[in-house]
Amino acid sequence: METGRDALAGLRILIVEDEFLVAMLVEEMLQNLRCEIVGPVSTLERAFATIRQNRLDGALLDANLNGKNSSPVADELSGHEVPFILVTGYGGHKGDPPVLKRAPRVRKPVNFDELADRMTEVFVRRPAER
Amino acid sequence: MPSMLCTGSSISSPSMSPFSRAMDLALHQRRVHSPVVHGEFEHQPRSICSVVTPDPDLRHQHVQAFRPRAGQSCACRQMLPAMKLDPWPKRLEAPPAIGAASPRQDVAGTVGDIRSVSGFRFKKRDAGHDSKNVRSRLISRRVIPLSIVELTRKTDPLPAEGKHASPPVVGIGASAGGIDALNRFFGSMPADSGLAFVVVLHLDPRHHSELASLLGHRTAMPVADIVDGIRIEPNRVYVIVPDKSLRVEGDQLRLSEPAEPRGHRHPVDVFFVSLAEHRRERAIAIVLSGTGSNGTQGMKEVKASGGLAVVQDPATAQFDGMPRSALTAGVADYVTAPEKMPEILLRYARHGYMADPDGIAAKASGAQPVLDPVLALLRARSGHDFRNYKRGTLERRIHRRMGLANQGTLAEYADLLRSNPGEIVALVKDLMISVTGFFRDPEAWAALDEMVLAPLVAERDADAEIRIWVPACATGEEVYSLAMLVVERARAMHKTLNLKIFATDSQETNLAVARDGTYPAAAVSVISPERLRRFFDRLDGAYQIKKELRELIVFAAQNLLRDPPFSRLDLITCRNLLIYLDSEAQKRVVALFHFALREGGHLFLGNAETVGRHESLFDTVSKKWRIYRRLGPTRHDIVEFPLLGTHARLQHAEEPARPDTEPARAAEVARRALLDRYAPASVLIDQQGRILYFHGPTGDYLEQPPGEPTRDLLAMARDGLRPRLRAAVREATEKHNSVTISARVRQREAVRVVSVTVAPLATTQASAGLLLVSFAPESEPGATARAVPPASDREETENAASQRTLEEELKSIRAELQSTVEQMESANEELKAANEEVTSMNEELQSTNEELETSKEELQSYNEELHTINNQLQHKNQELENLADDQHNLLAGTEVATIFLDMEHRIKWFSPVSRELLDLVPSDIGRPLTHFAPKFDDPNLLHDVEMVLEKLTRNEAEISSAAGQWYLRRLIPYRARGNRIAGAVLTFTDITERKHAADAVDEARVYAEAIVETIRQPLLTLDAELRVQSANRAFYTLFQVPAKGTRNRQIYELGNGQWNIPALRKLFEDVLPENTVIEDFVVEHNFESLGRRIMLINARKLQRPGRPDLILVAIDDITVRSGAEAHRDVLISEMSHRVKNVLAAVQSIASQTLRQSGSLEGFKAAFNGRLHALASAHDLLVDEGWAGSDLRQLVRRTLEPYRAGDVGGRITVHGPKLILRAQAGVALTMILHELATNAAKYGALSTPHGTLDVNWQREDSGGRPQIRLRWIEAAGPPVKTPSRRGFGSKLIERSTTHELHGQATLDYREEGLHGELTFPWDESSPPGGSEG
Repeated sequence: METGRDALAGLRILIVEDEFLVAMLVEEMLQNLRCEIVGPVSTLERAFATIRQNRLDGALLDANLNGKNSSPVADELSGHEVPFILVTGYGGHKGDPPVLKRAPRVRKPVNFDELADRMTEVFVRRPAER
Repeated sequence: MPSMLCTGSSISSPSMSPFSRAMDLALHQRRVHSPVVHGEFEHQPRSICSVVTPDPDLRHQHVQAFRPRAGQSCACRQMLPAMKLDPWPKRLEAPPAIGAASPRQDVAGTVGDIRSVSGFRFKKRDAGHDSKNVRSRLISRRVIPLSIVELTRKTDPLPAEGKHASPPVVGIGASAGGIDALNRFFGSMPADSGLAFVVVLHLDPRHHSELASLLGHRTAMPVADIVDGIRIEPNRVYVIVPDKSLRVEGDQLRLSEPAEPRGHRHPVDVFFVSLAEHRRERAIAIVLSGTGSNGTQGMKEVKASGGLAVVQDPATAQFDGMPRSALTAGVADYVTAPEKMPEILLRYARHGYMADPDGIAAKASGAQPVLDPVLALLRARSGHDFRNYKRGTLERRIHRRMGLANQGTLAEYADLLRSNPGEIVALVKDLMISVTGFFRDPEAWAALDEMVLAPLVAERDADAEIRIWVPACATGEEVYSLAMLVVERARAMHKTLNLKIFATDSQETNLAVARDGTYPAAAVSVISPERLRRFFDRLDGAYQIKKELRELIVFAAQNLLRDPPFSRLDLITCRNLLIYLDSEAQKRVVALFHFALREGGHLFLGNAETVGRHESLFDTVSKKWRIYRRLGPTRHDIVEFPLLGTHARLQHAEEPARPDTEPARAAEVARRALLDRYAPASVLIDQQGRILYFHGPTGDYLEQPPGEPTRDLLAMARDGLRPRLRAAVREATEKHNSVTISARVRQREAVRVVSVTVAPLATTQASAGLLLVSFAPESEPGATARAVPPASDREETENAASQRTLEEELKSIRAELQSTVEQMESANEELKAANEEVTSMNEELQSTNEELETSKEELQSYNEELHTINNQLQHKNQELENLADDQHNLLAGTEVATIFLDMEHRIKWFSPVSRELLDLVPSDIGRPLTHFAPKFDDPNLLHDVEMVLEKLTRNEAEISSAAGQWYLRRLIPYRARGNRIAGAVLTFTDITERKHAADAVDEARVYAEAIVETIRQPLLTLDAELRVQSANRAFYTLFQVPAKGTRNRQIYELGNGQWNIPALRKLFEDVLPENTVIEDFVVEHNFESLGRRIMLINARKLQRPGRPDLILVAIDDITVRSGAEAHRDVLISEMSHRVKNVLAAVQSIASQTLRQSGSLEGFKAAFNGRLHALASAHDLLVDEGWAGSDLRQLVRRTLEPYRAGDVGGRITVHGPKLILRAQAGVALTMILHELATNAAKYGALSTPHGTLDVNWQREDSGGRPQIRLRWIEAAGPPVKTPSRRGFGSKLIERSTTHELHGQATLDYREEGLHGELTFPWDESSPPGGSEG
């Protein structure tokens, strides 16, 4: 939906991803969507810092950062009321905390359309509904 | 059709007299000689048939008349056999006749016809023939005479038809072994003997007999199988056919169906009997080898009829039964081997006897004197007096013996007798031979039974005496017949009688047989089976009278004609003796019988006998059956015994003279006249003073005194005569002188003087001891007595005379008295002596009697005891039998093999099942146990048996058999009565199944235990109180609980209470009681020693009937597994993450490369290259288990493709081994790849001269370690900065920053690219495994 995707333009989206190539890819997609890209950041600390220092419309969050669970970032984002989409390579881990389990997600390898739709849903509609 | 003499039905019986008178006439004509035996009649209905059979004495006619049934013919056929008279003596004055009567005149001439009269030929004579008187008389009485039949016996020689008269017949009887004997016989028998041979063998009725052809090979005579009616011709052999009875009839052989069932037949006897009857002296009977007693009875008849009897010597016979039986019965004339018999037969046949049995009479006229020497010899040598026997019989039998001895004349035979005592014995035996049998003439016996025996038994009180005498009893069959009848009557009337039967015979041999009471089977064939059973014991092939019956009879030797008889008899049975005696002897015997019977006693004679001239003595009870009853008082006068020879002679002399010749008559008449005239009245007396003969008028001197008639002289003497007469007789006897006395005899009122002379007769043999007493009146004045005395003047003379007379009388009386007294005294003396003797004998007898009584009592009491014991024994026996049966069934019915052993280990008894364990047969009883190879394995058996016998203990063992069965072998002592040990009882109970089950259980248990111990899962068994009953090794091991203290302790207590887990409690206390089976109950617990454990518990309640429940608990420690599972889950998600990442990376590379590439080719190359690098980086990681990668390896790998062919070493690498974090390793690989690719495309590696040097080192930067890596290219093509910036450099720079958290500097110097990467290095980077 072009219209939906238009709504994405100009949104300030944070990329949290430890793998550079993947980050590049996501970056490119966001560029195509005319989002304003914040990051990418690859560590928990950088992520915290970035979240606090910037006004965000949404975040694309890798579930796993260097072997660590990215739930703290998720918590942080939630705390700042920033919607986020989990970009993940797997369905979910049993031990995942609920914040991650409940989160909307997009699977890797990322499909552009899927990403766009999800973003529209999460970053545009939901906040609008709130 | 011939007509017959009839009597009318309208004539009532008593007025048969016309007919009987007619018969008389016929009889007197004496034309006919023979009696009717039986005949067949056929005549019209409503005619009467009557048969007249007069008895021998012509006094009575026995007439029977009946009316045949309408339409019935042959009624008389039935009647006549009843009239059969057997045996009928040959010479009889009684002629027979058969008459048939019809009142109907119209049937005259058609009434009847005699068909046949067996045994006799007959000639019919018309009624009108010789008896015109008869005819007219009968016609007047409306009797239509038909005919009188004249019957003559067939056996009288008939006008010869052809050359041969009927040939002598040799009957040969044999059985087993007979064929051999027959072969021997015929082998030496010439073919021209003139004899006919009839062979009777026991043949199997089912098979055709080859006998005729067998014999045909042996003899030249024609041999033929007998067909019914075949004529007997000489020099031929006739052979019996199977399953038929054979008889001789006339000159034919007749076959018939046998009357007896198979097995009871006596064909030889049957044939011999008919042979005896039809051929008489011309019969020869031969008995050869065979079993049984067939032939003996028949042979007896043959001999009795005057035939010859020859028996095979038993020693030469294969089977000696039949010969022995004949010999034992004493009927054999010759005993020899079969091949010697023909010689005897030929000699016998040629002797005159065979040719003319009566010829002996013809040989010597006046047979009497010639026969006398023989008879005298017999009397002298054997004591048997045959003078009273019928001459004819004597002659024939003597002639036969002459024939046997091959003597031609009587004189020669008499010589033989003198020299050969054996011949005397044989002759006596032959002369006395008679045929007797059981119930001979059964109807006569039945009549006796009914008419005499029944009333006799009925009238007697219980235990009263019945005395019976059977003289001439021969071998006793008749006596026993009589005894059987009496006993049966007594039993039927429930009376016990004191039965005394005397049976006498003059032959001791006969008595021996009779006493023994054993008779061959053929002899008892006429006896009914009930009687046989009641009175006989069955012996081998013979029957013996039972002892009880034999004991009733006293057998004694007695000669009827010589010895005193018995007395006070109720019944005398004497059958078929009188017919052998002449009529004088018969009369004497009958008188004797009269004397011997009590008043009213009965006499039973044979069918051909009567009481003769003594009918005054007897009343006829049954004419037909010869039963008589004694009449009148005892007649001493008619009985004389013993009979002296002279007396017998005088008896003869008393007989009316035989047909006198004329001269003899005159002499006799003259003699009589002289005697009458001149001889005084006399009497002849014997030594006992009995008058034997009166001559002249003796009435003046003798008179019969009142009372019973007497012949005693002195009794008869008139008054006055007696004393003198007595004296005179005595004197005459003593002095052998004549003595004359005178006496005064009172004769009515007168007294006469009589002179009596007593004269002994001259002593001759005939007159010894006889006296002649003659009387004569004396002519004396005093003798003429006057009835009235004269006048008184004579008184004086009278007185004087009478005084004288008186004086004389007195004198003579005194003398008489004296002599009388003397007589009396001497008589007294004698009497006294006799008395003393008698008294002493009496004493002796008394004491003997007492002894006998005592013995008898003793015997009786023994008998009683024995009887009781016997009874007891019987009962015990029965009990024993029952018990034995019970025991047998009980023990045989059990499945337990039982063996009884005695004290010596010998087998006493075993049950049939024992055969599974020992090879036992019933005959093994008594053999020791050790004799048997056991079919089972029990090494201790004998030892155990010993122990049991010694110590009286029980013993058990389990043993196996060879067949694989298991038994419980038990031994217990065998206790006999009174608890005495008599052995041991050995039993084997099959426990195979039980054992197998037990073994199976054991096995199962071991199996289960093994399983339990082997499995790795801990297992617990708890009781209902949760106390540990058992635990397996896995439990002890896993939970580190010592085995020792576990048992019976509550689970919560184990291992210092470490099992006191709430979850566990919950399981046992809440969950388990509700359910029987629990599965996968999770318990998580932190054990002290073990740490945290996650356990899956399975629990199950095990309910056991009759025993407490158990709880089975299986514990599965899944701690590790859980961890491992968790770990696995993490790994999987990690991997998935990484793979997705890699794919995303690839996606990225593809996108970037696409953007950069100008062509598809270019894209392909660049994309492949980058992909390869990425893969290679991952390889490295994988190699290190994703723990990290070695920088050195990494560099080398990346540069590997470019070093191929690099001999010169233009690429150099150096730096320490440094482990990089996984992700760093990948990033660095990509970076190096870019650098290398670039170098290969545009940089130093694109020319052969270009060099590359990669080095790195660890540095410290502000306290934190970092790595500095340098990429130095040189001697490559000149560098152009801007065209190189693309994805590659972007990747390098940003990746370094992003992923390595470092910095990258790319300096494009002239000589080549100079790149520097610096990034922090975490020494303690943990390998890839992480939490979360």
